[in-house]
Amino acid sequence: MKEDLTYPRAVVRKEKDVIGILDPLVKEWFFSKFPKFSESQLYGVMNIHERKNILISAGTGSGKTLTSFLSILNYLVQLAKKNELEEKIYCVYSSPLKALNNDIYVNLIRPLEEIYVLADKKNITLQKIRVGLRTGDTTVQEKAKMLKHPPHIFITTPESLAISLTTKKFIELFFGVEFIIIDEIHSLGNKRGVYLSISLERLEEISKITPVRVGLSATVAPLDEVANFLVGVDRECLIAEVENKKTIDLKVLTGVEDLIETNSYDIKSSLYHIIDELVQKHQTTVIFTNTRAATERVVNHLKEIFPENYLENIEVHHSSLSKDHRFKVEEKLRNGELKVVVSSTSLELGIDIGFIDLVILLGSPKSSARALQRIGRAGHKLHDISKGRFIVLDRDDLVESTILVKECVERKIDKIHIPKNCLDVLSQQIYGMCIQKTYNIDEMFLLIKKSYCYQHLKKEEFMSTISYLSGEYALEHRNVYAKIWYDKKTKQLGKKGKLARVIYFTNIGTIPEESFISVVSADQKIGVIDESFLEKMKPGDVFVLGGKKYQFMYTRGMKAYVKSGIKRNPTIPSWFSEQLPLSFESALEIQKFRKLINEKFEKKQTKKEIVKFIEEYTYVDGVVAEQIYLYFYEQYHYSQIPHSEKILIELYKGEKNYAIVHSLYGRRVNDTLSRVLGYLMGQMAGRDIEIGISDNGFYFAGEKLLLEEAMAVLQPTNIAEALEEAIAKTEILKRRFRHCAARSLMILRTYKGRIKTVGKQQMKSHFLLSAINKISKDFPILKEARREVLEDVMDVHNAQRVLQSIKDKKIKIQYHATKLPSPFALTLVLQGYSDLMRMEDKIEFMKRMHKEIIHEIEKNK
Amino acid sequence: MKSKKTNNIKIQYLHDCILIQNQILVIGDIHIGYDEHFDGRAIFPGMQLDEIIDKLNGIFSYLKSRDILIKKIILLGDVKHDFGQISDIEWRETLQFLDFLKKNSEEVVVIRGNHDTILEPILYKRDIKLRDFYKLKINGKNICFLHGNKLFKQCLDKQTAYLFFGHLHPAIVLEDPYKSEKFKCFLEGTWKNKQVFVLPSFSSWSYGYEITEPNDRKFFVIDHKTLLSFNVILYDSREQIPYNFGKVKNFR
Repeated sequence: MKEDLTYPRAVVRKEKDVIGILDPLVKEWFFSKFPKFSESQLYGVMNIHERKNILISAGTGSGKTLTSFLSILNYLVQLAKKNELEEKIYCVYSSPLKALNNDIYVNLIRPLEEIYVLADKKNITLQKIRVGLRTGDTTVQEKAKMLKHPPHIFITTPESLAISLTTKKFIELFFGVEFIIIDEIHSLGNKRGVYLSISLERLEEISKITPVRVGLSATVAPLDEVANFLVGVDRECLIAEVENKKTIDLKVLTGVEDLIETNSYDIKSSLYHIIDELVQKHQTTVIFTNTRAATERVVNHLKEIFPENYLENIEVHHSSLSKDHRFKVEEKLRNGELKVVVSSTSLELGIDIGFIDLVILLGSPKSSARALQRIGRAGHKLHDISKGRFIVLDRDDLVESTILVKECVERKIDKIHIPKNCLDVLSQQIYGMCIQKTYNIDEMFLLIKKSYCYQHLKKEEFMSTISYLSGEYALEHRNVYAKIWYDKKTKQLGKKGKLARVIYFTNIGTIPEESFISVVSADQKIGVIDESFLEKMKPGDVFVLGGKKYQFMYTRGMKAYVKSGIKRNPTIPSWFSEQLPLSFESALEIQKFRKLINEKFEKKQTKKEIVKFIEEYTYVDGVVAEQIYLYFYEQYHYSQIPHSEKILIELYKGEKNYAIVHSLYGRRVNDTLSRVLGYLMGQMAGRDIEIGISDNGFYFAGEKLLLEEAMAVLQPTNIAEALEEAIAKTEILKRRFRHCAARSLMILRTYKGRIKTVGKQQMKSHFLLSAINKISKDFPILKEARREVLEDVMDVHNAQRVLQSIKDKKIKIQYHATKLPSPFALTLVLQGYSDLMRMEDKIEFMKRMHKEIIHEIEKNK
Repeated sequence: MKSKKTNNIKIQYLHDCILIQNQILVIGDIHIGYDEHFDGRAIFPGMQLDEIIDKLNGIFSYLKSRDILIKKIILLGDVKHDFGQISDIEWRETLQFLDFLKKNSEEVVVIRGNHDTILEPILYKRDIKLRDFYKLKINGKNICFLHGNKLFKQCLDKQTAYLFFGHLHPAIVLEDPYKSEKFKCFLEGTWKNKQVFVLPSFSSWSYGYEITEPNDRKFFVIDHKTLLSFNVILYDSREQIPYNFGKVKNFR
């Protein structure tokens, strides 16, 4: 498999050459605004002019958006002068952001306006160059206007592009597309990106001219993979890696001198004092937290503790807030009306937010790419300084943030994960293609395989998706609910049903809907939870809200009904819903750091020597280095330091037997390993096993833990198969199946104008799943749900790598019996358990409970 | 097979059903066409009916192995799931189901459930009457079968010693500190001086209503407070043994 293609790097072009291609009018406009070309313009403008595909990777403020538009504007102005502009779309620009954002205004609309003013002055007549926007919010009138006079530059989102590709009249406007710009391509390492990759191939098929593809990306890795994703299979591409000229100034702050001896109240209070101090010293600050709930908490605390400092000048910005609210906040930021904004992930994207001079990261951002993205929001202009402060919450966070700072400074970027062969996205696209026109099946298959995400798609998988869509999976002669028809003789396929187009338009998309749900107990509203959190629960589950335990019963509309006064342990930890996983690459960096420190201890180096090493190796100051030293010192002397070549497994007996596995590979790999090992142990012993996972490791608890036996069975070669068995009956598979069923349009979110609640979708999917399980294990959408769990939620490939290293004896497994969990194990165990491997037979459980209850009744007599 | 002899009438739990005098099989809510509910179109139609018939076949062959022949089958209502119009598939499936029951017993009795608003024309095809309730006399005692959404005064006379209900879909959650599992259950107790049995739903698709919680979702003729004093019976379908888990209120 030619997975790891490398593409040639673009070189900086000579300034006079770039000037040479510019129309005099454009040239005059450009130099009236800018003294010279930016680096990314020297890389990009000529290449786009020469119609070469190019991926431009550059930090914020490097002028890459204008780079992509400059040669296109130049080309269109030349045509407009000669009165040769046609009634067609010349350029398709796709951005993940829904609104016509300020970036487009600054880099496209305003330049155009200024060029026209200039032309006017010089008495040059120019045809009108039109810019049109189509998103989910575009009105019917606006669309009709576009059909009459097509925009020359068409600005859209991946979803609206797909809809445009199935609208007959719109398709005609795409017959001569010459440029495609994909903005924020680094944020498309998900199903949205997979979806777009096929749309691009469809666009290419429709256009009689092969369009140039331009990708714009923030710092991302690996660049060659992203380039491949941009251009698809067997096409050339240049990569322009624009050096980041911004200086970064990063620091890790702990607030207290000793994170373990200080109680949590003091840590919290000192934390807010540090934040306030930093905010007051700067003009405008953005604070990033890792969860949406935390953003609200931070704002409330700041307002409470420092009422004189924060009133009108503080706002939250996260994806659950209404669009209007977010716009208002962005507007206020640009106008300099805010002192501080608290955000989760929503401000990471390249929305223009004006001048920011400080970014505070509350808790580790979990990956160097995300850290850089967040820090890059400070000092937006090219030569500004990006100032970032990491405020850590516990000792693992401290070590993690320290290593992330090192990676940021040294520009080590973790890898983007682009899902492949997603059969749910494929279903939606095939349906869209069938609505577009009648296809020949071989041609369709070839087109799809040109996408990077589907280049290895197997014919059987493609055909089974066709079978699902054409209703062949329904039981014999009960051929209902087919979405397409497929004629084996003529090899033709097309849409079925009068409502096809409407169903497609109203159900398209790849992002599962989310919102907030009120929690109600005995007619009283207790609080709100995230819908994604609710999704993780089934009736009977116990969770914590505001410090109290509740049992989830059922949902009605946007309300979740719960029972209070619960004795049982929570079955769902409260942090579960939004936790960002630590990236595998950063995890390995931390392991490497652990190994180096361990060597220093083995060599009996002094505290002074080790602290000095930490200061030199990372970029932290003496106080922080000492805290890190102390953490490792305790671990080394109490137990052992696990590192890149040693997985430590602590065994201890509390109420139950515990096995704590120190495998610092990030949550996704740990989820994989713990589930499959838990499943194997459970099968061997026939009893339930409790599992807890974190980025740093996982633990098991139960009556009988046959860990060594399970480790012996588990091989890099059989892990995928064993894992498929292990997840077969889990909630996570059911939930993912619901998402996949919605994406593949098995479950319609809207039908005949009625919107179906998530709860109803859940019920349908529950029903569907049990039916499908009886029909075929290989039903494409079930297969996709399994793939999603194994590869996107978990990380079976890197888990395989770990197992291979264990097998090759590159990683040693060390068992260590202990009376109490070691310092490294503490946070891990405290986080509570995330899942229970149900191994005990249901009827056996009933009998056991019967004995207990009868015993109880006898006792009370 | 454990049994309960009260005043010479033999009442036994059997899977999700009750067997009376080794002759009468009482079956709770079936909800045929639950899968039809998908946007008015079934994706995998027939699956549910196949499953119900498989399950009943298992029960009939078990009875046969013990030389028990069923004379009468009583369905406690909600045979069909849908309220609205009947689709072709539903017609076909319901008829298929009735024919299957008739093949296995001499008589089929059907009680009207709240979902059975449109069942009558189908039953008519097979000469079956749809009844609000059904009364039997065995060994001088009256037994009354009804759905449970409505009460009829004929069922409350002094001669009636037993009442059988469907409708409620009772279920119970068993939990230890580490997990909880939901089980369908029977309820058994005394109400208005009569011995009462509430059957679980027969359909494997329905979740069941957690009996420890106040019932605010559908009306049932017996109030929740009374139900709290009823016994919870779970059935081990592997070894054919019913387990008495004591009173509902003990679970609270």
